[in-house]
Amino acid sequence: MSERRIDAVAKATGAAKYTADVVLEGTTFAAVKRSDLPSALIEEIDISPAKEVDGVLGVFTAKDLPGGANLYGRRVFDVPILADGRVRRVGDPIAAVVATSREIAEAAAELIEVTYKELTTVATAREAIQPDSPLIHDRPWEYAGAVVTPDSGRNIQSVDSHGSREAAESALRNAVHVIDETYFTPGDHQGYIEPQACIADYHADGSLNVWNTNKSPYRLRDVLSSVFGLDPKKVEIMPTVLGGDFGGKGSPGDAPLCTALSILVGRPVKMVLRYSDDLLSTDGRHSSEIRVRLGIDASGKLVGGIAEALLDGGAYAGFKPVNTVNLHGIVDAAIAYRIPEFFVESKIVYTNNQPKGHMRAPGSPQAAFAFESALDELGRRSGIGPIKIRELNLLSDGDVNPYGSVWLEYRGKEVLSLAMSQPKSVDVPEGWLHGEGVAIYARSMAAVPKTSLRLRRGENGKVIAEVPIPENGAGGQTVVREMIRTGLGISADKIEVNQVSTSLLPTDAGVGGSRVSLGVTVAVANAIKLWKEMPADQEVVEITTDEGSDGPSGAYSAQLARVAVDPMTGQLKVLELISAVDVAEIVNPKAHQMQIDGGAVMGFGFAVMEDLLEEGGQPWALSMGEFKLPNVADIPKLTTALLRGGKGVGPNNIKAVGELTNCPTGAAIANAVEDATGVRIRRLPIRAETIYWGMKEGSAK
Amino acid sequence: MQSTETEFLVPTSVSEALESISKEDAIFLGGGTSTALLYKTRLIEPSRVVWLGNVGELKGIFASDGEVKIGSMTTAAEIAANRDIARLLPGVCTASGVIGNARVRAMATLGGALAHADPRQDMPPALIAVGAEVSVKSSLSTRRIPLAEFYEGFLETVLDPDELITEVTIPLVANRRSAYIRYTPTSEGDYPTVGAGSSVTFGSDGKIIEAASVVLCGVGSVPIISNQASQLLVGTTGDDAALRRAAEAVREIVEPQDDERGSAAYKREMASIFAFRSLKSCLGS
Repeated sequence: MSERRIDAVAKATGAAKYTADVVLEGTTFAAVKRSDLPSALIEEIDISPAKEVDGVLGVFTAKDLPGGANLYGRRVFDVPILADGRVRRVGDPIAAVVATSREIAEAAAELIEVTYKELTTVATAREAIQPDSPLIHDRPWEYAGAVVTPDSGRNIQSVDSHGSREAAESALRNAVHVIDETYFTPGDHQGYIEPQACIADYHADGSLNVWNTNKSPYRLRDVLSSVFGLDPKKVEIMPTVLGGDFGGKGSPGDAPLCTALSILVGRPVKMVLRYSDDLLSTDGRHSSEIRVRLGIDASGKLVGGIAEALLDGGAYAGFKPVNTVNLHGIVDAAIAYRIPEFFVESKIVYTNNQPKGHMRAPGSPQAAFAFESALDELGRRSGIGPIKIRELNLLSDGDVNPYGSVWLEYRGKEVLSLAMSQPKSVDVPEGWLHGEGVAIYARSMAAVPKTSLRLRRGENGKVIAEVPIPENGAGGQTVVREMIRTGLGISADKIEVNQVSTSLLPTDAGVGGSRVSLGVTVAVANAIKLWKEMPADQEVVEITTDEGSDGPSGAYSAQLARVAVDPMTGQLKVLELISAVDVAEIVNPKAHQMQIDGGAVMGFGFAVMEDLLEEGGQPWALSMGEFKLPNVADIPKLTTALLRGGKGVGPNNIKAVGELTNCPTGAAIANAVEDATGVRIRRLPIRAETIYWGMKEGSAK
Repeated sequence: MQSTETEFLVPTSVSEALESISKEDAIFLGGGTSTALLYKTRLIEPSRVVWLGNVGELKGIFASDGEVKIGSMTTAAEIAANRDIARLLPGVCTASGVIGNARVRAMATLGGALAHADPRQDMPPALIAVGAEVSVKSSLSTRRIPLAEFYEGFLETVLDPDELITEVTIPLVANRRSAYIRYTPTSEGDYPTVGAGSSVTFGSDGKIIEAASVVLCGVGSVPIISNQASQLLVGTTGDDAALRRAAEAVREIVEPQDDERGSAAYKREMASIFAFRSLKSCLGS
């Protein structure tokens, strides 16, 4: 049985307080003048018309920023709070207005006149690495946190790789069948309901309170204290409810700007993005161009492979949080398979597009689309068949994966077989072509559960858990409650779970990377243990964990897409998506199922419609009318088959599920389209028109 | 600057509404599904907004022997759910039931949609195909305009700024069949790549087509009316060969543009295919 989610009633009734709902005494409102051009020098900024507007408290440009602090980021500090002499993308903030109302601030910002000297736009990743390409940043290696050097090459944000290129090339030369194709995916946005918002409240004593649409409060605290030279103990990130995240709320958002403005005006400063500005100015999924080469021997066994990814990181590298400043989903492209010689390189470059960051399973939907499409093509072209080639090459227990580790178990073959054996229930429309395709995705679970929490006695036998994480919509706080409920044997209504501000707990690594259920459960289990041993006169137990999980291990998903294609128009209907998911124990079945279904819908959107339409250094999908997300009528029938009995990790014996089902969908659908029509799609989103012209040409090439 | 200085008036009669609009740059507001977006994105900055939601005489659907009248403040959802519309004007029924999504249909009004004149809208082709006429009033005059002559360009109509659409009249014709079909290959919630409204009227013998109409949206700056398609159908029995010839004629007159809903070349192909499918549906396949 599933207990109701902890945030359900507050969100359904409107009682939940989101960042945009926070009202402080004396709040002022900020709006920014953004760049209209993708690449230009700023010759002059005329803020005088904005300053004269009634209700405007101040208009600021880069030179006004307190202490000269301008650059920030999650790892690389290369994002300017306000453009300093140069704009690198449409939407770069150039000047900020603080006023007594949002409307006044926005109207005044529109009056600001900027004179530009236009520079050549670098509109694609491919252009960026050409020898004569203009430099987006003159000396990117000088940014704090940069991983590039002067020798890294033009416009490089980061390069990550694994394996030996020479060995893989050599293996491919000896292969009997080789596939060599290149796959493309577009820039995407997380599509959360709640646009990004912030209130910063700086006080004369050097203390700062921040409410921000952010899921990594401790990291945000560290970024703000570092940018503005503030004492971290005096920077307090306040609890908030998040209206969806999908990775996009890990970024500092407008907290650095609002903090700077609050310091400047001495009052709380609030900024809530219009959704069009959220589409324009936040950090979505990297567009990709991935060349995949795979080779098999006569028996169909993979002997070697090379994946080379070129990703468009946009104008700034600062929204990628990991040490590599790369996306591990790309490097992990071959993680489900036995490939003796595999080389992968992930190159992320600067362009004049929107900066990109983390979105649900960063890098994986792109990599899985490329790899699982290429493997499918190889299966078909070689005559071995798309299913058989996977069965032959999926890892088995005891195998060493291409990254040199041996997981506790490999359940790729089992999830594939489970997906294949599900009953199919949706009829094909009369006269339409029908096809089926599969794709596999595997993900390691090596997250370190760095977190802390506190259990406290409440009134009437209540247990109050104080946690460092916001509820981002995925159900993390519900997991905490469920563990306490079962661990202490008390009912759900005797448990409260509250996020507390960053000054009240020591640490947390933030929500993300499928780490919440894994990391937090370790902490909760330890806290429950202490609680049970606690003397009767003690009120509180507090714990901090920083230990690795069991493993190495991982989880698999296999997806089977059934599609129908109208032979007259190329219209694609995804009839059903069957997801087979590798699970161990499940903490909350309903929340678990929601992750599976939500993931499949997100994968479906990525496969067939989502696209920021970046062209010429400008995203053209700047409203939810143009940036299409799946609506209820679009969603195919979703079927889930759980492969139970897995070896999980942590005290609850669980496997992460949040990033399993959104990754294989693009390839599963593209593979089904070839099955139905003979047309091979190598670019997402899949458009009816592409299928139409492909059928007219009448070949799979 | 917007919002702080915009007047919001709520008249309760047509005459009051027409008086309210006299101020320069005042606008009428129906359901707001288009106007509110234009307003929020500052594409329009009216000094006065006259909301018609409390003008009862602009609402309702009235079917009589010879015609159907639909008040301009009737919502898409009301039209889609109306039994007379479903029985007498199936194309109009279909079109009003597929606009946007349920939330949009609950608010969007017929008059607002026609005045907005987005060439991707579903209603105009369905209504033009059945000979709809638009009744328009200002404080000085009243006129009735065939919807086929109503559109001048992208978001442009023949309306004067002080004119108000009061109702739409659709003549009922014996032995006429009508249909609307749209093509939304990306998302059901999208504007159509192409939409096709059609009607076919048989002679008294019920066999030979006496009049026909094929009208398309999404493939030009205004709804595209194919007179040649109509002529090719008149005098035939509406057999597949005749329908194909008519659909082929459509290809020549559409003026599509490349966008994310398809290239011009693809839209041209689809215009022809969906004209055929609309006619086929019209003939009750």
